[in-house]
Amino acid sequence: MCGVGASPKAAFAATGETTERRAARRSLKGQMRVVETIFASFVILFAIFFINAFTPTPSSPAYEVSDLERLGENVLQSLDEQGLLSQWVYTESWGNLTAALRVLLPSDVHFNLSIYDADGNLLNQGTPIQYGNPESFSNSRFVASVTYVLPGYQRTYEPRVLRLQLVGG
Amino acid sequence: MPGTLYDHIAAIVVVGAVFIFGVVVLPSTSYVNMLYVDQQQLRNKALDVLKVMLLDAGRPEDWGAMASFNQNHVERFGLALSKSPSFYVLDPDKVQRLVEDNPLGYVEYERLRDLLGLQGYGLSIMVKPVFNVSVQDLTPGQLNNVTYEVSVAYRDMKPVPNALVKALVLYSVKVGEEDGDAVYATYCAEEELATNSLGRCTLQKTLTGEVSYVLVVWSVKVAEVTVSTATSKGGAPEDVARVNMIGDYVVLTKPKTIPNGAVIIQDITAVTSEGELVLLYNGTGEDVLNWGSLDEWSKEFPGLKDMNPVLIILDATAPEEGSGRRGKLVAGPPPTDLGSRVLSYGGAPLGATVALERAVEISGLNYVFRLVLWAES
Repeated sequence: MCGVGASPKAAFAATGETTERRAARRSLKGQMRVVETIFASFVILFAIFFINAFTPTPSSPAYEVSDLERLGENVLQSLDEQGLLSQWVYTESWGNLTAALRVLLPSDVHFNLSIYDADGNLLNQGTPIQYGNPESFSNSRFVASVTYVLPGYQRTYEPRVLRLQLVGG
Repeated sequence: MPGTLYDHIAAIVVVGAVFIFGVVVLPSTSYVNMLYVDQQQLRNKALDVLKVMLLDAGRPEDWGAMASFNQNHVERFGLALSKSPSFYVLDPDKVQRLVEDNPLGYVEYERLRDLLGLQGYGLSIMVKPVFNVSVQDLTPGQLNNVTYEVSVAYRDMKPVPNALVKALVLYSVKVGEEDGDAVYATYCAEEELATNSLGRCTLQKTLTGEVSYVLVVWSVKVAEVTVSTATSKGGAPEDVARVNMIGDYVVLTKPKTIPNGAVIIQDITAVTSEGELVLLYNGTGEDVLNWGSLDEWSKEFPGLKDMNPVLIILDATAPEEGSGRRGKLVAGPPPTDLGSRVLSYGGAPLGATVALERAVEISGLNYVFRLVLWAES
């Protein structure tokens, strides 16, 4: 029953208008959902790009440094076992030391060797025992440092501290 | 309602397109990061493999010196010299098993990958000298007046001045005839040189007599680190015999070459890491290498391995086409040129690779062990 006193024609006229408006509203909602979805997808993508751009790439600095340390220790120990390290350090044969390190270390490894006495005085000042670009030590994230101690030479107690820095070139 | 339906279809299509776009674009923008992770993982794998190869003696511990070598009897792979007090000292017998076409047997590439658990990976190995020594023959074909130019350079190709070069010139000279066969004797001349500022020096020698073969053993020393190599002229040494050393045994093998004729062993000499000659054996005239049942000759020299010989030199006479029997000098174990122990072993690198190097000691000399690893899939 349409209501007391209301004519069917009037009621139909009222209902038809509401349906059209509802359909239009639904259509608008559907379109907006599409637009919202697109915006949401772009937001998610941009968020992922943003995170990727600023997240540091995973690396294992411990591995590179420990690898270089092992390399340096191996070379110094090898020279020491042959009696050459003591001989060259105590006779200040820096040229021989440089040449030996250069042939025994890989050509893409830069090194810098400093030799100190027991009081901490740098003994090879003015004659660097090094190979490669000195800036690579300051620019690289992975600089390995090996400390090797020689107690003395020819039955004389006279310690020498060797500090070998290594970096991949 | 039809309008809403179209809207939802359009939404699904657009979302699908954005999703696919994200799946395709995202990996490519992260490619650099993923590549770095892959490289890091490959490097970690290479470090582990290198550690096993150089620090483990393998099982059995003397697998390199097995008589009648069979790679299937190698249970665990490792090149370290067993019972050595130092690290990175390799067993020369085991390193020799990486020389492909070693007539005494070698570990094949696929077997090595199985032993190291490297399925899906490829590797190549080189054992090369710590600095480069190249020898150029400036008088090819001449046996009486020999001139060589020696160049010494670091691995980054920079020349090494004041490198000490010691040359042992061994030459075989015809001294007479006996029963229709020529008789040869071997002489030795020694010379010491030093490289100039360009890392070069020249050896010039005049050899008297009817020289049939010249073998020069070079010992080059830079800061007490020695590289040893050998060059020869007067014929291809591999046509005469192949010289190998297993443990305390010297093993000679005869390749199938023309002309086929008996190689008569005159003497066998060892070269130490100091470049000194040590006579091991004087041939009796009955020591013969030939095809068939005599294609292998071996003799034990107790204490030979402990002497750390760098080279073994075979002094022999062998037939030569059109020239009769001539004196020959053969150095081994191969490879003897360029100072390398293993010229190339393994596969051809594919795609992104990781290369690692370590200084190692073999028979008292320093070498560079280079491993290149890559992922095959």
